[in-house]
Amino acid sequence: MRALSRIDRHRGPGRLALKSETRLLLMVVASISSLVLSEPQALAVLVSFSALYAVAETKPKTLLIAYLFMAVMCSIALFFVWVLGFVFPLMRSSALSMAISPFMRLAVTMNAMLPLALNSRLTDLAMALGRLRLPGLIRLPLMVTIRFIPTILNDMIQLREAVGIRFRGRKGFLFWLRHPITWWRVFFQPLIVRLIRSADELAMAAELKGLEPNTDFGGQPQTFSGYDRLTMLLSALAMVLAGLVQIAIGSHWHA
Amino acid sequence: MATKKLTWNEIWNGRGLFETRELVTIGLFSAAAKASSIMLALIGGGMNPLTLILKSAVQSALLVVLLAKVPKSGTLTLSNAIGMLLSFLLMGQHVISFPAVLLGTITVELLAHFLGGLARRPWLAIPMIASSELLVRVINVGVSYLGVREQPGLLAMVLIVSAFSYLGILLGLAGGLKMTKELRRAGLIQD
Amino acid sequence: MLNVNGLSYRHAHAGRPALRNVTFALGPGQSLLLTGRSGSGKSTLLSILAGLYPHFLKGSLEGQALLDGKQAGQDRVTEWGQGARLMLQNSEAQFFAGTVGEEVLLTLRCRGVTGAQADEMANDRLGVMGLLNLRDHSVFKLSEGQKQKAVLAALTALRPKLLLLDEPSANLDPLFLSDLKSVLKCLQKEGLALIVADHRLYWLHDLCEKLIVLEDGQVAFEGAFGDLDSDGLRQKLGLRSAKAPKPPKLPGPRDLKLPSAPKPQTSAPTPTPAPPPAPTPTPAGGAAPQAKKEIAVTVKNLYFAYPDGRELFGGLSLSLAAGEVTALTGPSGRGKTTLARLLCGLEKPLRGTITYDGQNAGLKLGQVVLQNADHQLYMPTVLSEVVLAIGEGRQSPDIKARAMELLEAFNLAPLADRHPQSLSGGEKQRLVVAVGLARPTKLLALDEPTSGLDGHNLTLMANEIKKAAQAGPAVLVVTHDLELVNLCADRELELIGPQALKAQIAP
Repeated sequence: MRALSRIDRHRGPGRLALKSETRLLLMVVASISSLVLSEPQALAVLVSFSALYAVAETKPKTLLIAYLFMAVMCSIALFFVWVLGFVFPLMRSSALSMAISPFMRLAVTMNAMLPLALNSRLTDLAMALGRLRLPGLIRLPLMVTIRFIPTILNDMIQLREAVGIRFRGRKGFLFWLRHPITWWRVFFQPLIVRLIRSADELAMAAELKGLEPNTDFGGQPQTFSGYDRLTMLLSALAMVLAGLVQIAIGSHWHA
Repeated sequence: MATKKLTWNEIWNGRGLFETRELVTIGLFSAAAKASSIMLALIGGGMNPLTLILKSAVQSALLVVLLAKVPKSGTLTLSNAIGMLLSFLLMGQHVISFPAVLLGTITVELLAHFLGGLARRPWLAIPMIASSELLVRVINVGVSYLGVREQPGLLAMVLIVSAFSYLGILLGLAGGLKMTKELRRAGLIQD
Repeated sequence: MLNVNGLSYRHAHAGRPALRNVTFALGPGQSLLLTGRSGSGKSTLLSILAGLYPHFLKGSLEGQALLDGKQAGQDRVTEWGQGARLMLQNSEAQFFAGTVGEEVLLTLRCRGVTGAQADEMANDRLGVMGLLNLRDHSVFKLSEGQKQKAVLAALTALRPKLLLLDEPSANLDPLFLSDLKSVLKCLQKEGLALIVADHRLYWLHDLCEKLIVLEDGQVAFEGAFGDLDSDGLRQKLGLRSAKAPKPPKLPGPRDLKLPSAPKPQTSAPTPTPAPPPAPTPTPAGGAAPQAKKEIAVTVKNLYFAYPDGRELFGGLSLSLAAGEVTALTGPSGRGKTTLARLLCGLEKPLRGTITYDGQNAGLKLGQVVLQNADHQLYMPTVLSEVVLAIGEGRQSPDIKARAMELLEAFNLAPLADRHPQSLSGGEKQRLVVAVGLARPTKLLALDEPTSGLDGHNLTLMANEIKKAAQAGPAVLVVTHDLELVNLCADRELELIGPQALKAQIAP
C-alpha cells in the first residue's frame, strides 16, 4: 500500500535493533526528567547521554537535518523574544545560562524522539502497545487508530487525486483561497462519508472476529536483547548522574 | 440474552461502558484526525498559520461528527486520550500534560452529563468541544511554561500557536455542525 | 444443519421489510448461491445468518434461523460466530494485525486459543490457502486475491460449520476467481457448508449446487444452479449470465504497434476462465478494418517506469477514435489502470508522447472516472454535483439547465434533489460518469465501472457508456468484466504482461 510504504519506507530496525518498548520507555523518561531538572549542567548530562543514544540509532544525515530544523525553530523563537523585549522590557533576556535551559530540554526530547519516530514501524508500536497492560477501553481504539492511519492516508491521496481530476488543473492555491467553502466540502465531505462507512464495516468485522476490548493483541512475548538492557542501564545511570549534579549545584528544585 | 453483574476486570476493559463497535469508531476517527494532521503538515508545513487553523478545524469537525455518531458520556474523553497517546507515540508530545488534560476533559463530560447528556441533548457537543479544547490549550501553555520558565518570553510563540489553532477549532465546530446535518439527511448518521 | 424458516426482518425506522418469509435448508458440505438485484436483501440475510442480529442489526426479526438447533440472535456474535463466519466484501477492512500469520493468530486468540496449538492451527489453514510462504508478509502488500485468501484462512481457522461470502468476486479478475474457487472447493470437501451471495455467476458453476434468487426481500426463485441457463428467468430477475462470457472478438485499437520485445505472443497464459481461441496478433494493427473516424488520442512509442525502476509498455503506439469505446482488459497488476492514467495525464510517461488532436495530453482535455464513487461526490444534491462539475463554482440558469439535461440522459433526473451519498451503488456509478461528461472532453476513461453491479445495472451502465461515446469523446474502459466488454466495446486491448499486449482482428 502506497501510504504505508511512505510512512514505513525509512523505518528500519535501527542499528541497535531495540524493542519498541525500550524506545517508548526512554521517551517517557527523557520527557519527564528534562522537565524536572533546571540546572544547565544537569541538563547537559541528559543532552550528552541522549545524543549518544540518538547517534547510535539514527543516520547521521537525518540527525543533522533534525538539528538544523531545531536550530531554525529556536532562532524564530528567540527572534520573537527579542521583539517582545522592546514592548515588554521585563521579557528581555536574562543570563545566557538561564536562556539555554529550554533549548537543552528540547534537545533531550528530540534525541529520545528520533529513534522512536524513525526506527519503530507503526505495526511494531501497535504490537508493543498490545503487550502493555493498558485498559481495554484505550487499547482497542488505539490499536485501531494505529492500524488505520495508513489506510486513511491512502484514502486522502486518492481524494486529492479525485479533486485534481474534477477541477482539471484549477486546483491551485489561489482558486481554493477564493472558494474556501468549496475546499472544505470537496476535501472534507468525502473523507467523512468514507470514515462513517468504514467505521460501520470495520465494527462489523471486529464483532464477527470476536474482537473484544480485552483481546490480547500482543502476539508472542518479547525478550529484551543485551542492547535493550544496556540502553536501559545507561539511561538509569544518566538520570542518577543528572540528579546528583542538580543537587550538587544546589540551586532550585522545580518539580 | 441473560444479563450478569460486571466484574472489576470487565469494567477496567470497558465492558458496560462502550461496545466494541463504538470503540472501533472512536479509534477510526482518531486515526482520521492524526492522518489529516500529517497530510496538512506535509502539504503546508507544520507551523504556518493557515495549516494550524486548518488542522484544528478538521480535528474539531471530526469530533462533532464523532459525538453525533457515538453520543455517549466518555466519547470525548476517550477520543482526546487516544489523540494524546498517539502524539506521544509518534512524536513524544503531551506526555506531561496527559493527566491534567484527561482530568479537565472528564470534568467537562461530567458537567455535560448533569445537563442531560449527549444522547438527549445533542447540541451539548458544541460547548463540550469548545470548552475542552480551550482547556487543553490552557494546560499546554502551562506545561510549556514549565519548559521555558527561565525565559518566559519564549512563551509568546506558544500563545500565538494556541490562538491560531483555537480559531481553527471554532471554525471547525461550525463546519462540523453543518456537515452533521447533511450526513443525517443522507442517512449516514441515524437519529 | 442450517434451517431458515419463515424468516422476516425489518430494519429499524424502515417502512418496508428487508426480508419476507425466507425459508430454506442447507446441510454439511452443501453450497448455495444467493443472488438477486442490488438491494434485494442478500447482505441482510447473510448478516443475520452470521449472528449480527440483534447486536448490530437492531431491527425486528420474525421466524427462525437455526444453526444446529441454535437460533440466530440468542447468542452473542462471538459465540454464534464459532459456527458461522462471514467474509465481507472489503477484505482489507477485516485485517486488524500487520502480517498474514498474526492475523490468523489474532483470530484464534479472540477465541481463547493460544500457544503451540494456535501456531499449529494457523499453519494448517495457511497451508490449505497456499499462503504458508507469506506468513510473515505484511497484509498491505498482498494482492486482492491473496488478501481474500488470508481472510479465509483467519475465518476458517476454528473450523466453522458454515461460511458466508458477500460478493467475493467484486474486486477479483478471472485468474484470481478460479484460484478462489479451488480454495472454496477444498473447504467444501472438509465438510464446510457455503452460502455465496454474488452478482457474477459464471464462476460459481460446479461449486454451488443450490440456488435462491431474492427480490424485494422475498424468495423469487428457488432451484438448482443449472436453472440459470434459462435466458427468460435471468432477464426477468435482472441477473447476469451463468455461463463464462465468450471472449470478445473485437479488433485491436487503431494504429496499434505492439512492443518490440518480448514479441507479442500467443504463449503467455490467458487469464480468462475460458481461454479464447488462438488469437491472431496484429503486429501493426493495420489488418483490422478501420472505418474513417476522427482520431481523438494518439499514443506514440510509450514507455513508463515505476519509482522502483520496473518498466511498462515497451514502446506502445496506438490511436483512439472519437465515438469509439475501447476496452482495456487483462489480469490485475499488469498496468491497465496505469495506462489509463497516462492517457489522461495523471501520470507522466518515461518516454514517448500522448496527444489529443496534436495537443499534449492532460486533465484539461481528458477525464477519468475512478473506481471509488464515494471519493468523487461532494455536493448536497445530485443536481448541484453536476452544476459544480459544469460551472466550477459558477452558477447560472444556463448551467442548471445543462445539468438537468445531462441527468435526464443518465436517467437520474428524478433523483436530482437527493443527496448523492444516499443513492444506490449503480446510481452513484452513473452519476460520476455523468459528471465526467459535464464538460467537453477528448477522452473519457472509466476504471472498473461495473464492479458489484447486478445484471440489470450492468446493462444500464453499458448503454450509458455507449451514449457517452456518441456524445463525442473516445471512451476507454478499464475492466475485468468481459460481460461489459461484450455489451459495449468496439475495440479491445488485452494487457497480459509488463510489456506484452494482445489484440485480435474481428472475424
